[in-house]
Amino acid sequence: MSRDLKKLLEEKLQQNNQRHADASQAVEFSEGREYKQIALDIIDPNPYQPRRIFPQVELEKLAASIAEIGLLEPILLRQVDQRYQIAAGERRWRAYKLLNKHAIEALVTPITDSDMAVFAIAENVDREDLSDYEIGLALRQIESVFPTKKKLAESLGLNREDMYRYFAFDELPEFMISDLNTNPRLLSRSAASDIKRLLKQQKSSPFLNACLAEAWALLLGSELDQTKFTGYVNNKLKALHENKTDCHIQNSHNLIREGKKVGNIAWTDKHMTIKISIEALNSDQENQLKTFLENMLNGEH
Amino acid sequence: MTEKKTVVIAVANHKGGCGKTTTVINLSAELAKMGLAVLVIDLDPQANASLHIGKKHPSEVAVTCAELLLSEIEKLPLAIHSETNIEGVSLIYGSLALGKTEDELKDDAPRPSEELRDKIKPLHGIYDVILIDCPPSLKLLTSNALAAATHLIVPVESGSQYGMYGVTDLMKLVEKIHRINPGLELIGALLIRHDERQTVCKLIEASAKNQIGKLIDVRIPTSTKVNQSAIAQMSLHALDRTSKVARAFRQLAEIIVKQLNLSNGGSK
Repeated sequence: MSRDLKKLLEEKLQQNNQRHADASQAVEFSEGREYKQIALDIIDPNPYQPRRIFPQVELEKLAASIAEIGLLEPILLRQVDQRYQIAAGERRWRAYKLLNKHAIEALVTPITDSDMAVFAIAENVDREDLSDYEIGLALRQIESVFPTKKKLAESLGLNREDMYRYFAFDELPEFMISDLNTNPRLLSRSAASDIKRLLKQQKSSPFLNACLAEAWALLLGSELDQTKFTGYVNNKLKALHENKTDCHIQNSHNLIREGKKVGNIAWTDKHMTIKISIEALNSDQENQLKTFLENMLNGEH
Repeated sequence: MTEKKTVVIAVANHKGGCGKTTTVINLSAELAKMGLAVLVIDLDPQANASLHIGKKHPSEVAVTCAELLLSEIEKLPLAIHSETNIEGVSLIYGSLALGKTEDELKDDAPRPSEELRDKIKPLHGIYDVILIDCPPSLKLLTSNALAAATHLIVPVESGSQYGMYGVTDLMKLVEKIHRINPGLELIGALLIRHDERQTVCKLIEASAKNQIGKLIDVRIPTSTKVNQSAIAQMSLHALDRTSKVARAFRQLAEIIVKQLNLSNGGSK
């Protein structure tokens, strides 16, 4: 063999093997499935489970029913190292624990991360008891196991537009998020996506934060419906912009009684406003003030 | 201009390592050298023919045999790659996914053995020769090749008892395939890695003729050039046209052209 050929073959062989090793080819292998009794204490919840609270009353009802007629359907698990994760049946597993059972009948089968995520969400998207905010959080948690957002939406049977509504919660200001964390039902996904749009449209407005906070307080107090939230803020902003010059406070002076602020006097280009807390004056004093002002404005004293 | 006659030659034997891929590649190269329009269809999940003559790695190819078999016929133009490492030879790639394809065909296709035949029908009249490299099994992929083929070559490793067992089983499948493809014609057994000095080779030569009925009148000798050509991703002709093994494949091409009455496309 000539030296050139030997060298060529040596190089080619290395290239060919490298190319083949680098190619991402899926090898088919199915481990199959197996029915087994699995000890409750080596089972963990689905890591993608969006639900944080399982109402105790419901679990007790389920436990009672299981105690009565037994487990109708085995739960679905996948094995991870020496433990198992629940793909379907977390409530049944919790009910079994309430019954102080040792093991539960399960179907054990290999399940990919993305399928685990789909199981976790799909069970909940259809049920009414998970809020849009929680679903939104769950979607964020699992999106990395899908190659694209499109795939994520497809896997869950959501249309893309609807999926982006769930993602709109991310854009909300801090104070809304912290209230949503304790009360996730404050906003639906469409209200959240309306607010997201509003934030974008009005981002240059200097009054935006104040108006949002005001509307949010009303919403928290059930005085403003979530569907009217953005309308309310928009109207507020519009009114403020029309009187913009008037709102520009030039100077102000606080009115203090016994070290506590009870009102203020503020000056703008056009007006001087005297504001006093309703509790600071009795009706006599109010009348005195009114008379005083009238007299002064009419040039009498 | 009258339409070309297209012959579709399946190269099949479910014994592994008997020289199917080597035969397909070097026969295609020699036929192309003779001016014929040649297409190679790689039906083997190992995709060795594709790895040898393809410009791309099979995993980078959008439409391989695996997709073609399961999709609508509209995908056919996307499956054909006319640029390969051998001039004048086009390729439909094989893919590791063909294993799965076989299962899906079995489950879903109404006539699971006839998918390939339907998919390559439009290619009749376009190519002079279509060569199908079969997987080392007698399952659906091989029966698809046999149902789509007009002719059959059975490479047999000379001197191997195991290879002869395989041939017996293959001939039973061919008999069954005649029910859906009565025109399938056996060109013959092709003895590969032949060494006429060895007694076992002489023995198998005689029994192959006996079992299969026809023996192609050329012997492919053992040669290290075959392995070299796989590494170099070349045909034996391109690697060393004067070598004994390259000359044997040239002879094989000539025999086939003559026997099947193939007119060479004129241009040489």
